[in-house]
Formats: sequence, structure tokens, C-alpha cells
Amino acid sequence: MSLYYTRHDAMTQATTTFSPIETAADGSTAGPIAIPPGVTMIKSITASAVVDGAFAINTGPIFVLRLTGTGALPDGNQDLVLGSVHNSQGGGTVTSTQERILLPLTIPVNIAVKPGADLALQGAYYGADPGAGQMSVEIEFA
Amino acid sequence: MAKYYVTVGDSMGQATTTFASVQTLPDGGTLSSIKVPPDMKKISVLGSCLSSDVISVIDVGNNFTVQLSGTGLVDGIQEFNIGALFSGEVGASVGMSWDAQPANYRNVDVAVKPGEIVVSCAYDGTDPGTPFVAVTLGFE
Repeated sequence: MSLYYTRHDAMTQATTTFSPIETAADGSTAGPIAIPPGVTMIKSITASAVVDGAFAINTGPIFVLRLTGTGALPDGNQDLVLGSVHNSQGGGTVTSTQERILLPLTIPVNIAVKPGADLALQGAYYGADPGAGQMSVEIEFA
Repeated sequence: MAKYYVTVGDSMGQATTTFASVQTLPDGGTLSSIKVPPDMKKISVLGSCLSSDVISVIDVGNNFTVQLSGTGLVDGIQEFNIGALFSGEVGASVGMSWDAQPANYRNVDVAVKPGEIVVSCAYDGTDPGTPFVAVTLGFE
């Protein structure tokens, strides 16, 4: 039986800078995930990323997830690329409306964890600042 | 299933059909080569993601190839197709388009040994401006 936890957060920091992903779906600051007793591994990671606000034109960040936490990961920090978004407007000015529906990415993994420790999620992005990145991550423990 | 993941990325500002290093960590640090983690025998997962950062040149299309090299590879240099970017425009008008793609994770089987692995990337076709590539290697 697997156990599932989610966190999300705004990615308003500068490029190539990690920021905590620690907000619960109900809006509370849940912080790191307390690794449940009896589990030994992260079995999968499911994530999505968007820009929540005005999307800076001609930017295309690539989002990255970091797993970290003191004593949580016997094999140390793990960094995984998640996906990209791009807003292209050439060199002109235009009035336009765009919409995109995204399915999440699920990555099967086998990352050892230590029950009782706190697993911290952090997000970063490569490329120019898009304005208001937003990441959501689900962790499956087994 | 991979148990150890390392990610590097970089802007591909070089000319066409020229390999350039992919060596920037997500926190902005530089990792010019990846040390094979202790007791790891192979790279079993290759994650990759492409994007156009800043203005993409119109009417160009490029396929991207990631190259692994270095002392940590049992069988020497390995190269992988990681996909393509293209951008087009009809007439002299301007418009706006969005795109969003999850990273692509594929199973690979690359034997490794204690040593270093260098990640590089090249593209074909006309220089697209400033494409960006990020690569995750999963070891087990």
C-alpha cells in the first residue's frame, strides 16, 4: 500500500535558486513531509508547473525539483527535471488570450528514505524569470 | 529503478552541430563533470527537457542530441536523441503562442564505473537563438 502527500508553492525567486515547496492543498504552511513509519522508498513523483499571473513574454523556464532534508535521504539530495513552459511573442505587441490544460508528469523512482525524518521539497527553474511560476508535487511512499 | 538523480542544464548558445557543455546545477552552481555515485553500475533513466528561452528565431527547427562522455563510462561515448524544437511564422504579423511540455523520461542502459561523466548537447539545423536544455541522469 502506498501513501501519498502533496505540496505546492509559488516560484517567484530568481533563476537557478531553490525555494521551498511546502504549502498544503488547503493553503496551510505544512512544511516538509514527515516520512511515515514503515516506508522505505519514494516510489513515484508526480508534478506539474505553470505560471500563475502575467507570463513574461519570450521566457521559457525549465522547472526542477530537489528532494532534500537532514537525514531523510540516505543517498543524499536528488534533483529531477520536471518540464518547461514557454511564452513566445516574437518582437511585436499583440493582444491575445491563451489557455493550456496540462497533465502532470509521473516519474517512477526508487529513492531510499528514512522513516521519521523530514523530507523537504524545493523548486527551481532554469532560464529567464517568467514572473510567477507555480509548482505542485505529489510524493508516493512505499 | 534508478535511486540516485543528478540534474544539469544550460543554454545552447553555440553554433549548429557543435557540442557545448551542460553543466549548470539547478541552484546555479557549476558541475563540469558528474562523479558516478558509489556502488552505481549503470544509468537506467535519462530525463530531458527543452525550451526556448528569450526570443526564439522564427522559421527554424532543430533536433537535439545529448552526449555522455568521460572516464565513468564503461563503453565510451554515448549519444541520445532528446527531441526537437521548432518555431514558425506566416507573413509579417506577430502573435503570441504558449507551449508547455513535461520532461521526457526514458529508460536507458549505460554501464558506468567509478569516474566522471561529462554531459554535452548539440543541435542540427539553423541557429534558433537561445534554446535551453536540462538533463537528469538516474543511476542504479
